[in-house]
Amino acid sequence: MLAPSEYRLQECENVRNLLRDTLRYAYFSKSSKDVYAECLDRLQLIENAFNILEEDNEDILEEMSNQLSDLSELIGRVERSRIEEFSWPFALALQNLALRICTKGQPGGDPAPRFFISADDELNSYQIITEQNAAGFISSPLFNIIFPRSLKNFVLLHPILGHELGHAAISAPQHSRLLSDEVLTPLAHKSPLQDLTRFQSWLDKIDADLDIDEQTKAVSAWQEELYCDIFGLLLMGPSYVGASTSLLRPFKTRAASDSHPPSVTRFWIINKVITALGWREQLRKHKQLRSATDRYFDSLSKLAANVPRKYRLLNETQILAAMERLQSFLADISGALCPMPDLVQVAAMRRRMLAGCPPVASEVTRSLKISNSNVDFRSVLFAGWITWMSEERPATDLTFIKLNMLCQRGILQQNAVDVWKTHERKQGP
Amino acid sequence: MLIAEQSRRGRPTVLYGILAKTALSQLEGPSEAKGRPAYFQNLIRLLDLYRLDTLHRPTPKAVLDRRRTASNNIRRDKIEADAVQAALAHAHKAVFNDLSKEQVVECLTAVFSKLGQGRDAELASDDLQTAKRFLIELTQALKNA
Repeated sequence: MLAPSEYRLQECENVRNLLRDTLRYAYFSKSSKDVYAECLDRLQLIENAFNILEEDNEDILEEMSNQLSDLSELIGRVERSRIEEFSWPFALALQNLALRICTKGQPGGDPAPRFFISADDELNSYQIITEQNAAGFISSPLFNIIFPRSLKNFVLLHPILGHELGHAAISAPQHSRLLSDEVLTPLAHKSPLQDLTRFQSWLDKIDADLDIDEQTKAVSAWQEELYCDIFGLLLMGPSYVGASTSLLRPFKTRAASDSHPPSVTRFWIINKVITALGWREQLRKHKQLRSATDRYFDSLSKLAANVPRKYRLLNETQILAAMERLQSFLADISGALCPMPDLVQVAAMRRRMLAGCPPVASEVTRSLKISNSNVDFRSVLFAGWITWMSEERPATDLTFIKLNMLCQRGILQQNAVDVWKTHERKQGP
Repeated sequence: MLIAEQSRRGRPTVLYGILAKTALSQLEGPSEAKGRPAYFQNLIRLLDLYRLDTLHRPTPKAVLDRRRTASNNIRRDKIEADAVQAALAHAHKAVFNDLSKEQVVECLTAVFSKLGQGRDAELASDDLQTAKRFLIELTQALKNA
């Protein structure tokens, strides 16, 4: 028989072996090495604690066991962060955005989060797990972006992760109070989400089946979810519309849970924000983009128009006030607020994709002079959606997966151009 | 499943008690001990949760995850968060009396930062004693929770 402490120490050794096993795969950046080192540090912290704690305290033994088990689960995710498992050009672009948001205004001594990106078997697993506000056996907080494995190449759906970055931003201690007081509170003001009593009266109208514990949780969880949709939209740009509606519509759109508001409410709010931003009017100014842009935004506005009044949960003035505050928050972070896509550039990318070519390319002159244009990855994604909605597309052999692969190539090309430009700048004239 | 799901859900009252106790034990050992910075950094993050009133913030689920959280787990998480909040408030009151939450967190963060970096010698003896008392009070309050 093993004494509890002997068993736990054996488990520590086993977890160390699991971690060693992860080395059999190839990973995509230096951050993978950092994450490996972080797991080793966590194991050491747990072992140190084992050595000083009372062996006969069952509460402590159980909690330590949970901590070790969580670490083992984390190592499983690290193993699923190997290079073949996800779209790494997109992941790299998203990581750059996340880094800017989460380190902005961070106190000097705080360790920067260590990023890793992994795949998960569940089909609906788009998620970001962040530890910036977590206390436990943590040496440096990790920031894990999770893609569903089955959708790994579907970059046109990945803008949904902009929503998840909203959760990450509000959990960062340096942003938490500002986003809570200046965005969440105004957003919920004069609405059923302002307090539990108002929320309960509203729930009666929609006949939702939530008990009192779920209701209490839902009031704050829904506020944050709705804020995250506005955040995702401002961060990822118009491609967020295609991604969020495509992914949310296959579920029951009027169902409410303790964690998420009904999807119809979300469509209505997204449409309000899109209308206020004036993206549609701007984008349809280009003749070649007009009909596809109309079809793209019509699919959302029709959904929104059919949302029953009782599901229009927030006050419209308050939505716009929250949106404006978020715009100025993101504008203060370099490159975070999605710029309006350049119409000429989007039209050119659409033409290239309809011809079966990647949207971004370098130009080479007869004298072998290479020139590259700067294209934001969010514009590539929007161009992808506009291509999908184009009248000409059904006559081509562009399937949704092919189109996604072309966009992925475009983002990869742009990453390479950025690396090259950085290299050139370092080399000097 | 080998054990009941309830046992698999972490208990913040126990976890933070272990953290506080481990940090205290680090103060008895060499200031350059490996792992010391991490224990104090985690306590600083815990103080941040207290300062920002975010101990009760629900952990967001994945954007497309529609599974419901069992009501008893929601209740249990709330009870745990309440207990941690009360333990921190108790330690605050016992050591700093009427000082505001912001001031307490600022003061302890500065001390824990130095302790984490092994710069114990730079601390006034009163500051070190205050930090120790806070950790003792917190450990005890979490144990009683």
